Amino acid sequence: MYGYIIPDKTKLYNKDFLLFRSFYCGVCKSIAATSGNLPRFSTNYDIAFLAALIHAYKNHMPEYSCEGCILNPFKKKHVVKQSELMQRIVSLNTLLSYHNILDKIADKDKGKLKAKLAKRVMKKAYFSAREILPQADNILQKSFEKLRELEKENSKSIDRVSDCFASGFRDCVVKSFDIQNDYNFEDVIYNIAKFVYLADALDDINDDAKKKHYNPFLARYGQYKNKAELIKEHRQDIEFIINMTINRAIESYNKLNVCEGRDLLNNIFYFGLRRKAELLINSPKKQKRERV
Amino acid sequence: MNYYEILGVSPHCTQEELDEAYRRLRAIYAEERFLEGEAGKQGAIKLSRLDEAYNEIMRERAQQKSSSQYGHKLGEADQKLKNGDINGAQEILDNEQDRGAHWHFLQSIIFYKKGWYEESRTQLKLAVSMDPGNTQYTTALDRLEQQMASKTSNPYTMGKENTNTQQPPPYTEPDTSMGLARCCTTLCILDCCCDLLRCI
Repeated sequence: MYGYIIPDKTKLYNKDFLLFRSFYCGVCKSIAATSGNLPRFSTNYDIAFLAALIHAYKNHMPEYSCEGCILNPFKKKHVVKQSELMQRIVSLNTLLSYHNILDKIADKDKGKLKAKLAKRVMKKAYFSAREILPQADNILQKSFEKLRELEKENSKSIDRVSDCFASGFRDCVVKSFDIQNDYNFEDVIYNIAKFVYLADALDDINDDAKKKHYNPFLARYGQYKNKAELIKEHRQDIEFIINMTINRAIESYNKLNVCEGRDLLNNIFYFGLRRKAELLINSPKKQKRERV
Repeated sequence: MNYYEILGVSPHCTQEELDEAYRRLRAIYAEERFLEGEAGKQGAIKLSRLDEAYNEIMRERAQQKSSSQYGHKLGEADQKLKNGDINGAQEILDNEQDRGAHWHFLQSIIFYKKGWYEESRTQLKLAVSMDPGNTQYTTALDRLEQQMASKTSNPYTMGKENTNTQQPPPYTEPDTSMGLARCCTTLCILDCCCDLLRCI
């Protein structure tokens, strides 16, 4: 998860920006409280969004505290306080980050050193997270193993490969947060996870083409030299799959019984996802990390 | 419960006769339920039984039509999909040797429900190529490509039934920001006034 699910700032009310920021800072603080300061680098906008969505879905009103930040200790900001629900959310984030790192190490690549260092930093946090969410850890392990197998086979089916990650993540969320038979919420999580996987794949086309790594779009549409050429030939097909995923996420989200925080979530689902998709499809280079 | 007896028609009646009987009885029971006391209660019970009988007969007839048109197995898969049993429907399709247009159409529905959109479109295109005159398949493909995958469709109304509004609702719905606004109104007002106070 690398910050693909962010609000559209041009349509964001200040109250919603402050709410999103308080979840982002809340995730960072919760990671520090659970696993120490170093794993804080795994904080990202996607998990802040997930925290907001789960709090809204479960109708769990967060408590706030006014605290300084490790980056700016003199400026106090409203931060979502540590709670049992936040602890589970950050544990899920830790598990996901750790398994991503293991996946990078499994790829034979020069960037392995950085991944090995990250693994060392996250190891202790991973063991604590595994105690809190053991089922999620097993599910993620199996999903990533299946994903690696499909990548070795150079699977040409974008749906099959993204389903590995998306269904694994969906099952993790269902087990970790006791979601009982709500197919709409499961569809939201599935399609959001699928969007993140596809967005990441789309963003990495240039790097993967250069390093001859597996990329679902390159496997499906042919080994193009760069992203611009691939998009030029297959724009309609790529737009179809990305827009379908976003629209199904929106459709399922609209059926949820969410009240609190609706404005922020509306912005992210209705505008944020589409804006990000446009940027990813139209930009020939890898996107720089955006700040909200 | 004999649904045809409730409607006062024979099991072999035509669709028009069935609809006519339903409309006629519905008009009578709809008035009866507003009577006072026991008579009103009985009217309401009869109306509810009438609706149940009509819906059940329509469902049975649709299932029979599907079975006779496409074979018993595909009709069964169709019914399983309508009941939400995706795995059951997939099992039936996997065991089916004869893979014609309708097989691909049902497979595309399964893929759509699973979230495999590209595979769903591929299967639907196969169904259309095998049976180009079938409007059900061509309409479905058109809807999938033009409406469901559109980046300009109105997000406020997607997934919501019976929406008459074309314009999105105003983006100023009063909504508590999960209690944050109550927490510190002063900070919120100050932040609204001055963008410089935004997070660095």
